[in-house]
Amino acid sequence: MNQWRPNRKEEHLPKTALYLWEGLLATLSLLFIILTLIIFQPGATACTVLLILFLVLWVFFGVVYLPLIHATYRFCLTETHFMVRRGLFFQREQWMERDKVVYVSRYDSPFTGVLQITSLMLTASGAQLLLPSMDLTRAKEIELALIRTAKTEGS
Amino acid sequence: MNRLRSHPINILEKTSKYLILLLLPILRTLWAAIRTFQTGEIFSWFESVWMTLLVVALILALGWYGWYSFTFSYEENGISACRGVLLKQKWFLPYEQITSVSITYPWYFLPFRAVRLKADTDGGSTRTADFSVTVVRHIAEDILYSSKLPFSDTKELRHFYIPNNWAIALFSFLSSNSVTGAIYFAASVSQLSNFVGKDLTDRLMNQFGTLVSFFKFIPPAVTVFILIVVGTWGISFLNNLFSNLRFCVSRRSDVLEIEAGIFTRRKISIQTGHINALILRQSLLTHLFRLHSASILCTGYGQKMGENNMLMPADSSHGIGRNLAMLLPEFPMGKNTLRPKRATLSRFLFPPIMLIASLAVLFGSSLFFLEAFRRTLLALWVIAEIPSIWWLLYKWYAFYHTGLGFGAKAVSIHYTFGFRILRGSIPYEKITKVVCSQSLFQKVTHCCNVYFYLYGESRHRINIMNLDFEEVRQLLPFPMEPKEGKHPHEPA
Repeated sequence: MNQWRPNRKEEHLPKTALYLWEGLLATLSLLFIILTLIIFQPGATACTVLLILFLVLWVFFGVVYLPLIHATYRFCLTETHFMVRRGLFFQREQWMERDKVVYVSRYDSPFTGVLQITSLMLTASGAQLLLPSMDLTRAKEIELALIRTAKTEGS
Repeated sequence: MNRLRSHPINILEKTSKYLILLLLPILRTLWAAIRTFQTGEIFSWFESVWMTLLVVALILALGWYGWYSFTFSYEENGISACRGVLLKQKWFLPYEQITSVSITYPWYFLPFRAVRLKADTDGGSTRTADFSVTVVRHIAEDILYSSKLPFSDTKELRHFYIPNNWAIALFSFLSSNSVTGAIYFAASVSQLSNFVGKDLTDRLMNQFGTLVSFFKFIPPAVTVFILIVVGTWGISFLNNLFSNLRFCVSRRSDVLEIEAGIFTRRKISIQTGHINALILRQSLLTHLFRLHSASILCTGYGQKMGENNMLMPADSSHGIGRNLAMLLPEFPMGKNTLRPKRATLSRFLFPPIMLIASLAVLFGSSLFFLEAFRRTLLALWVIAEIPSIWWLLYKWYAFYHTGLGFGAKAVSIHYTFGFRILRGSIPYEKITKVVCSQSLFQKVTHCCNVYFYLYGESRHRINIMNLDFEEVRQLLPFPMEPKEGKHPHEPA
């Protein structure tokens, strides 16, 4: 393990990924606020408590949690392995051997064209590795590199 | 290459389980439509059936969406697929990673020239194939051909193994069980009551009652039990027989091709490098006649309900050895190096002896308290004791059979599972983990269980029981890697 660990060049997720996450969080929060206003009478205690709760959660996740998650998310592609490090309170590092990758799936959303963001899922025997909100060009490069590895190993 | 779509029959295939529920309302709507068109009151007809029509249209629209949103293409190197409209999932399966490609030709798709194609790899979901589509026949055959082209040299000789129908019938006879038959039967009866109403189903059950009363010399409860077991076993047997008749397996270069089935024909192409293990099966009965059946463990082959992973249905020891050397020379069968010690015989025999004794105590005490049901209880006791004594004989044999052997490229395993006697060959590179475990009771007899975990999509574990602990520690080679030449522990 020590042979390949020091040579890694870690990469971050693009800034647009954070904007997308923040946008989705804002939409979700607004949806909850609207639902609260529809279900409960505005000005009632339950309505006020729920609105304050959503606001606090929005601030916590939008200002603190998501930027930190984004900042701590790392991945790297070495000659032999693929690594993902994530987690804020409980950090987790996952390594997958490149020649063990069976196939790669790419998940495109309606924002892929505009924000140039996509998600990758690496599938190996008995394991999967998800890379959410990656740069589209880099994702395509990784996809090609991994498929090529699989082909070389198989033939 | 152009993106392709599945066969339009796929819309009905996807929605059939919902449309079946609406079959009666749809038929009623159509019947009403015919009647109203005669009288000319179309508006009143539409007023009464608009909800049914809306639900059917919605289901068909969902089916159409599923069909439209799935596209695929096959290239020189693999199959590429795309699912979804707004959220798109794109994946590419290189042919090198595909373990098996199968084509099923269901008889009810014949008029539409549609077939089901599945391609599976060692990764992904265990429940579904990584690529599954219903397509026009020639496209499926093209994909199957392209998938085996890089591994199959057309100039090389193709070896065939075609078993005779008696061997297939024997295999179906032995591999059929009542549980599978019962599932088919229960599903058929529930579908029958959906289609023809409760009255006919009730009459069917009454006929069953008449049949039970015909066997007057056997208690009714026992007759019902026997009829259910035999009946459901018969259904399972016919199902196995029809799906295995006209079985044929061939090998060219690194591709194994299997064809089977009479009404619904299947064609499967397997890369030999992706086969995880070769297993030979016997029951005590077939062991007496020296008959074996061979099966393979490979992702995508025989893992679904109602399918089997058969390679050779039934053959003599000599025949199976000769044909396996031709079809799968990569999986040699060696002799045992590690065997259970004589002191562990009690560990094999203790469970069945305990079961026989417990049944005797249970039924003996029941006879004492329930004198009125003496005949029924005695019959049930005999029924329960027969498999227990069979289990004892089988465990006795298991003691002499169990063991491990180490070859240059593969481990030979001899073990038992359920009422089956199994022998297998696992290449070293397909073993992902070896666990040696010793329970509190095993400490007394100094034995242990050895578990082999195999590479593959789902977790597959093989348990070799009650081997001598010290011998295992000394002889089990760690790490398990193929050796050049002869393995140090390979028997002469």
